[in-house]
Amino acid sequence: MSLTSRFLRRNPFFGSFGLLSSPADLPKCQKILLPFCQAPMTSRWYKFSIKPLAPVPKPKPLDVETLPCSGVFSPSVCSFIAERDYENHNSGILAWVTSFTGENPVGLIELNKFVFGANPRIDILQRVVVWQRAKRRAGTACVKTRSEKRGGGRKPWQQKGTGRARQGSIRAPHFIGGGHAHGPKPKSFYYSLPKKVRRMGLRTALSVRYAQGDLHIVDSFKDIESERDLIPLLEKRDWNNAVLVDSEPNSKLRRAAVEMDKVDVLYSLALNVYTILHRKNTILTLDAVRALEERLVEDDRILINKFE
Amino acid sequence: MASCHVRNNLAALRQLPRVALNNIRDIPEAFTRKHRKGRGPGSKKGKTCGRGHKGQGQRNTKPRLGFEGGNTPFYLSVPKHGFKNTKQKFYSPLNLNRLQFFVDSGRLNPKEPINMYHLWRSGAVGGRIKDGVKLLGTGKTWFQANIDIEVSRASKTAIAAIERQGGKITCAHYNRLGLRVLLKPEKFEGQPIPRRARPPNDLMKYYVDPINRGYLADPDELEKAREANRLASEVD
Repeated sequence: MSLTSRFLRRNPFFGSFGLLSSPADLPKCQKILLPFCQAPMTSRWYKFSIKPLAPVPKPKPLDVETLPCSGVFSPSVCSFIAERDYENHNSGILAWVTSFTGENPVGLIELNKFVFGANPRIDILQRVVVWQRAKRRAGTACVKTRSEKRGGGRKPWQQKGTGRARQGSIRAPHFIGGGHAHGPKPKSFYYSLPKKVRRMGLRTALSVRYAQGDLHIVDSFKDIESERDLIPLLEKRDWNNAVLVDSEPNSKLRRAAVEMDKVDVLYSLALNVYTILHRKNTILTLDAVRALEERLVEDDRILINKFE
Repeated sequence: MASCHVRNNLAALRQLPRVALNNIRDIPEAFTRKHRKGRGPGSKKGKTCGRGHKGQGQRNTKPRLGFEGGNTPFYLSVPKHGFKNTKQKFYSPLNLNRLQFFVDSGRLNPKEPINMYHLWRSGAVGGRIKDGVKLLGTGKTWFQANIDIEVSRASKTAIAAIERQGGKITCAHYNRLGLRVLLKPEKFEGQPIPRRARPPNDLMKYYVDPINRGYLADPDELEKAREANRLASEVD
């Protein structure tokens, strides 16, 4: 044996096999900093070397001009179809896109089956709604215990000789005006619901609204300036009880809908199960549909295992 | 791939009133209800609430675990002894007769190099491999296969039996993560594969020794040792 094990112990790069053809080369290698040996060998080195999975590269959108619908549908609908066709093709879930101001249909799109055609799990909806309402609770209910009540330090009467029952304090729980035993105290009612269940709830709510014909898709809300524009449009279509969803926060729309009691304005990230079920109609813009599908179809991509 | 029941459920929804906050509910069997004590005899936990009558059990004043009512307890009267070896390795055993059986029945391919992945996948080594596989010499007299095998450790008789048949054996160190990379490569798809660790200091001596056919031994000496073993078997 040409080398002692003592020498090998000192060499920090001995664990990396590859360029070292034989242990005899080791003294030379010690001086050169090899490219894959640069990280110092610590006990937890491998935790940093494992990185999360890279996102799947998206396919390029189709050419809008080659689509059969180009020229027939409006350009925004055509670009939606071109972008989302690779996942929504032949899903069987068709939806008309109407213009919010003009009411006329501007196109027909296919929605994603995983997001808008999910199994209507009513129990999941219930679970998400209960969770949402629990975490919104203020939890400020509070009553005073016998120690927090004012007074009560003195023994009300002597232990023996009065003929009355023995008592130690006038603020004991069985006294009128006494403290509460086991009363409510401020606390948080928040609990964590698994994120997959939260996303599943949102998919289920959207699918339920679609299946019952209460999901409407419009091109955009861009011409809405004030409530004078908005209220007649909603009343004309009987959308007085609705949640309007844009892709991004829309302050003009929110201001326009402030006066209407039964209209909520949200954007795609803030959309939630409680509000969808609270309002009768759900109105999405095309951009909101795109943003929602991009976010919610991620679970399906993992299931199908499309990673390269 | 929406299956049939999803399609039926969605179709049934069309006939039903609008799903809203007032008509959703959970599955009753999804949660177990908390047992409420002291709520009458019908609940089986009324009256004494399952605590019996009087005393420590009822008032929750039981002494600590191991207390013997004032005697010097067992855990104090008996001196400590023994220790737990944190460096202990648990190798899954594999005998030559089982290896031969797996080669004969076509579950291991002797023409290709065999490592612990093949042994585990074929079922020659069952269960969970914790630190590696050790090859042992039961069945050495009638072992016939000519194989190239890599395991964590091997006994001297097993090494002699394999090299008698013209085979090759190396003993290589894998730590837990390295073993996971080897046995379950599908878990590391799309990720950078972590570097393989060198043996810890106390195991380094074993894997540097050509007698053990260690993978870190000097290649020339390793070849010499293998040659000597082969010649010795021919003399016999």
